[in-house]
Amino acid sequence: MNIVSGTAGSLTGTYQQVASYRHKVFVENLGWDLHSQDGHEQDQFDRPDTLYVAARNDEGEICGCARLLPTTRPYLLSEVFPQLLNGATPPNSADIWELSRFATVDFNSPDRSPLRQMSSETAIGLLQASIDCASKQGAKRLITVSPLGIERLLRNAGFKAHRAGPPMRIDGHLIFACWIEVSDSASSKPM
Amino acid sequence: MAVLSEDGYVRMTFEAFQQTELVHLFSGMDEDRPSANGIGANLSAITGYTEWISNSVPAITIGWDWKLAGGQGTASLIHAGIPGSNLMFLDQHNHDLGPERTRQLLVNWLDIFRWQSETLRALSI
Repeated sequence: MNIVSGTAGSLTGTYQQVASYRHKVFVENLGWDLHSQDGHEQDQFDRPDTLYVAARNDEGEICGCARLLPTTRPYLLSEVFPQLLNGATPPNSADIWELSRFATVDFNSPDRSPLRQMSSETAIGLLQASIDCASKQGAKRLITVSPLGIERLLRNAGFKAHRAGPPMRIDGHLIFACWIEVSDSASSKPM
Repeated sequence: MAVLSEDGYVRMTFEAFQQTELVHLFSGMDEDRPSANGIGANLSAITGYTEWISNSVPAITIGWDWKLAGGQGTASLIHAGIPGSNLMFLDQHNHDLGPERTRQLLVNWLDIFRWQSETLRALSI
């Protein structure tokens, strides 16, 4: 597995592949009601300053992705899902970044279940790479809005994380907001 | 008294938590468990999750995994693994007990909290 990170501008062709991969995972497989055009899933938070982390399998195809946004500008949780924060004000700080659109599905694998692949080594590696990428930007903590199933990945892999509020069923999907500590995780990998 | 902190934790003593009423939010079975197909395949375990919440403000959220255990003709549920929550328990001096100690207290609490009947009812097992 090879992991790269950067902005859409620095990743050029990779970014288009990530947008296509996100469409396959989130729209086609998970059935999320997201904006897609020409088989590419993108929204208002896919901006020039947005950071992406992408994993490629041995065949060079995208098998995982994540998106990182600074909380000092509009981000998914603050604009779309603030109700997941248990009444708290959405964070706005240079040392807090948001992790979203996290997925690890290898479409070359015989087991393509997005939920099951959340527990794979690829998922752990991609999450650690995302934490490291955010850490290089000065992040001390991540806030994430994710399917509830990702909590198992965090717990089982030993990441330091806790809920920001109760999970909710939105458009038929169980999602929740979660804090992930960056400082300790970036310096010493879990497991 | 429970307080919602900037880091998202609801801070309170374990004693105060034990006096807080929790209500069932939702439960479900894992949809991603391995399917039993093919010759010689084993019947997979039935597992799932359950979520509970307080009606207090700030809300306490706690959820855990379970597995179905059969015995003597009746279905029963056993909690599995470590619960997820937004809780940070405090000692008598209002100092954090820390995430590990908080989780351990929650695991112990699950041994006495009566959650199985409500969860089975929600699952229609």
